[in-house]
Amino acid sequence: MSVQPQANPSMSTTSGATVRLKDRFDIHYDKPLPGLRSPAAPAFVAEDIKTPGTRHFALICDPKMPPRLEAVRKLQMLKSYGVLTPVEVGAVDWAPANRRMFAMVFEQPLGDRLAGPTDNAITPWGEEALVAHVVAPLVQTLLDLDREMLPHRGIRPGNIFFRDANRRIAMLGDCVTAPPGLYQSVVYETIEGGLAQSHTRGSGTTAQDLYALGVLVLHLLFGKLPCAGQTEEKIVEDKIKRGSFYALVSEQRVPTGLSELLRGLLVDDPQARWRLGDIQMWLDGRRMTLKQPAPAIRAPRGFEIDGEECETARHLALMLDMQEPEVAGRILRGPNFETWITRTLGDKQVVEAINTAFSTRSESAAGTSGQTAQLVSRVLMALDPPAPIRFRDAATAVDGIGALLAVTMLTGGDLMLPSEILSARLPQFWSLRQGSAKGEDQATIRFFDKMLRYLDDKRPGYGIERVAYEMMPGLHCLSPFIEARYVEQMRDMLPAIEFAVQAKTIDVSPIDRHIAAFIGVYENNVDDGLLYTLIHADPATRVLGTLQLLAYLQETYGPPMVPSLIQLFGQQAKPVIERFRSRYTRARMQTGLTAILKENSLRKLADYLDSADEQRKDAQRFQKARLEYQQTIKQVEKATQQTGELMSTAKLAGHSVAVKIASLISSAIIGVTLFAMGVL
Amino acid sequence: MAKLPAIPAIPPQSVPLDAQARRAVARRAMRPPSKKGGGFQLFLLGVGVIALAVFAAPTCVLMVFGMVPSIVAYVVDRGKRPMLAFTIAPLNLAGLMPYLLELWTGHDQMPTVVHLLTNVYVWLVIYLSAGAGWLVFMGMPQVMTFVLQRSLDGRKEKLKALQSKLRADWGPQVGGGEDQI
Repeated sequence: MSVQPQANPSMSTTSGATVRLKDRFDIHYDKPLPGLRSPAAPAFVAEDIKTPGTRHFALICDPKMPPRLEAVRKLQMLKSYGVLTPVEVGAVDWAPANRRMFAMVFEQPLGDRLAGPTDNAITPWGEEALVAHVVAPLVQTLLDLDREMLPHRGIRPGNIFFRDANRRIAMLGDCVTAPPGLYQSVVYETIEGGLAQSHTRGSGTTAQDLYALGVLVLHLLFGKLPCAGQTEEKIVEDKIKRGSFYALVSEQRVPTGLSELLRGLLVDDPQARWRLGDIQMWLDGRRMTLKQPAPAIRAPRGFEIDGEECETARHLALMLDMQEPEVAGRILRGPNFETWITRTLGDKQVVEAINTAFSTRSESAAGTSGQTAQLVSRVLMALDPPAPIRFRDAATAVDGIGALLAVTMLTGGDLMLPSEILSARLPQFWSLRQGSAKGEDQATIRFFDKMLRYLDDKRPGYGIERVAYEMMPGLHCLSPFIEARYVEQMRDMLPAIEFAVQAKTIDVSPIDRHIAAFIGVYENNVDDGLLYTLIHADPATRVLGTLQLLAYLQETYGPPMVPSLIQLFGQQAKPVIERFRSRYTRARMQTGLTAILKENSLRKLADYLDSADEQRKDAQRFQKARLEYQQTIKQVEKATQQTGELMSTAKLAGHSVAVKIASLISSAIIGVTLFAMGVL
Repeated sequence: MAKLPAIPAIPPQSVPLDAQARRAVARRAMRPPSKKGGGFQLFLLGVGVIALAVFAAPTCVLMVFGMVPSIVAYVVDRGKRPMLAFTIAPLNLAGLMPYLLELWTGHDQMPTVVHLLTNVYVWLVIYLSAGAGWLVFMGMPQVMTFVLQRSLDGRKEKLKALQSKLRADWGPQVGGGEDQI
C-alpha cells in the first residue's frame, strides 16, 4: 500500500514498521501482543512519544465491526481505573491490511488476564478471594459506569484483567472495539441477550452486566463454564424453562455465602434482579431479602409444537420462532392457538397483545409471505415482550437494530431484512409492548418513526444509508469510494475523497449516497437542498452542487490542497460553463478557469463557476439579444412584405421619377434651344 | 412646444403584419384624389386656349397640333394623377420649342405654321421627343424595381447576417428555441 502523507495533523503517518496516531503514539505493527488482544482486535505495542517509558498497547479494530465510539467518549470522561479506557483513538494507515483501520490505544494493565480468551476451564476460585479480588472491584467499576449510563457488556473471564501483578484487583477489559455483547457467550447473556444475534444484542442496561457478573461468579467458583457442552439453543431453552439460576447452577452445589448473591443476580426479570446498591449492601455484610419475581403464568395444559409442550407464553414464543414463518403463521391462524391463548393460558395482557398483533396491518414488499412473517414477529413480541425483535432470520434488540444494519452493510448482506423491520414498524410495536415508563416508549417510537421517514426518503442524504449512520454513531463512512480510508469524522472526509480521486477510484462524481448520508448526519449546516442537487437532471447543477458541498468541507475542515479534486472538477466544468449563453462569456470563463484551477481552492472554483453576478449579467444580455433577434425577424418580414409590394411601389416611384427626369431633360433642351437660337 | 408622442421603436407584437398591411391600404384609399378640382383646371385651360387662339392664333394652332401626344396621353391616362401626360408633356414641349421660337422670332403668321406643319421632320422631331417621354415613363418603373429590389435584398442580407451572428453568439435559443435556463 502506498501510504500518502496527509496534511491533516490529526491523521496518522507511517515510518518503517510503525504507524503514528495523532502525533502521540507510534504503533509497532511488527510487535504484536497476543496476551492483550480482544477477540477481533489484535493488540500491538504502542509507544507514547511524548512520555517515553509508559506502557501502552493498541487494539486495531475489525473494520467489519463498528466500534462503540459513544462508549469511548464516556470512558474518556469517566477516567476509571477499573476498566480499560482508550487513551487515544483514531484511524491509522494500517500497512499490513493495506487500508486504514481504527486504532485504540490503552494503558497496559500491570496484571495479566483472569483467563485466556477461549479458556472455559479455569482454576476454581475460593469464595473469599472471588468476592474480594473480583466481585468487589468489578462492582465498584460498574458503579462508575452506571453513573455514565454505560453498560460494559463484555464481562467474561477472558475480558477481565488485574490492575496489579499480584492479581488482587480485577478490572474490566475492552468494551469498545466491537458492538456490545458481541463476544459474550450465550451463557453470559440474559435470556433476551441469548435470543438475539450476537452483534445485535444492543447496549442494554447495567442489569445485563450484573447478570453476567453472576455467571462470572459461578464460572470462577466451579472452574468451568456453566452449561458447558450444551448448544446455545439448548442453553436458552433451559433458561426459559427452568429459570437462569437453576439452568446455570444445574446439579452443582452453591456455597451458602454466595447463594444469595447468585440468586439475586441471576433473576430473569430485570426489575427483580439485584441492583448495584443491593450488591454493595451485600458486600458490606447486610443480608438481603430476595425479591421474588412474579412467576410466569403457566397453562394447565401445554400447547404442543414439534412434540414440545409449551406451558408459558415465552416458551411458546421460542418454539414458534424455531419454525419457518409460514409454518408458524399456519399455527397462529389455527383454532387451537386461539383457544389455548384465550382459555387455557388465560393471560389477559397476552390475549390483548395478540389481538393487537393480528389487527395491526401488515404490508410487505415480499407479499403474503412477508405479511405472515410480520404477523409472526408481532405475535412473538406479544407472547414474550422483553425478547428481541425476531423477524425472519434476524433477532435483534431494539437498540441493536443499528448494529444489525451496520454489520449487514459492512458484510454486504441483504439490506431488505433490516429495511423491512423498520418498514413494518416492528420496533414501535415492541416498544408499546414493554409497559415501561411511558415517556421512554414514546421517545423510542418517535425515534423509529423518524428513522422510517428517513428510510422512505429516497433523496441523497437519506434512505437506508442515513438510517445506518443515525442509528450507529461511530460507524465509519461505508461509501465504496472511501470505505478503506475509514472516515469516521468529517475532518477525514475530504482527504479520503482526494485520495480516492488520486487513486482513480472516483472518476465522475465524488459524492455517493453513503457520503451524502454521512454528511447529512454529521453536518447540520449543510442544507438538504444542496444534497438534492446531487441527483439533479441538469449535469451542471449536479457538478455545482457537488462542488459547493466539497468547498464547504474544505473551508470547514481542510485540507488546503486538493489538487486531484480540483483537476476532476476542472474536467467536469464544461457543462457548467456551457450554461452561460454568450460564447464570449464561455470563452472568457474557459480561459479564466486555468488560472482558478492553479489556486487549488474548491471555494474559489465554486465561486468562479457559480457566480451569481455573471449569471445575472449573462441572462440580461441574453434577453437583450433575444429582443434584438425578434426585431430582426420583424424587419425581415417587413422587407419580404415590401418585396411583394415592390412592383406597385416601383411603378409609382418610377412614374414620379419619370416626371422629374422629363422635366429636367425638357428644361435642359429648352435652355439649349433658347441659347442656340440666340434668344438668351 | 408640445412634446411629440414617443414613437415606439418596435411595433406591438400583438398586431399581425397582414393587419398592418390592410391598415396601410386603408390609409392610401383615404387620400384625396389628386384630380380634385380637375374640372376647374380644364376650364382654365380652355379659357387659356381660347385666349391664345384670339391673341396668337398661329402659336395656338402649332401648339394644338404639336402637343397632340401630350393631349392623348392626358386623355388615355386614367390614373388619379396623369403621370404619363406629366412625363410626355415637358419633352413634347421641348421638341416643339425650336419651332415655337422659329415662329416667334420670324413672322408670326399662319403660313409659317402651315409650312412647319407640312414638314415631316417637324413632326418627326415633335413625336420623337414625345416618344422619348413615353420611353422614360415606361422605363423608370423597371429601373426603380431593380434599384428597390437591390436595396431590399441588401437589407435582408444584413438582417440575416445579424441573426446568424446572434445565433452564433447566444445559441439557437436566442431565436425563441427551447429555453434551457
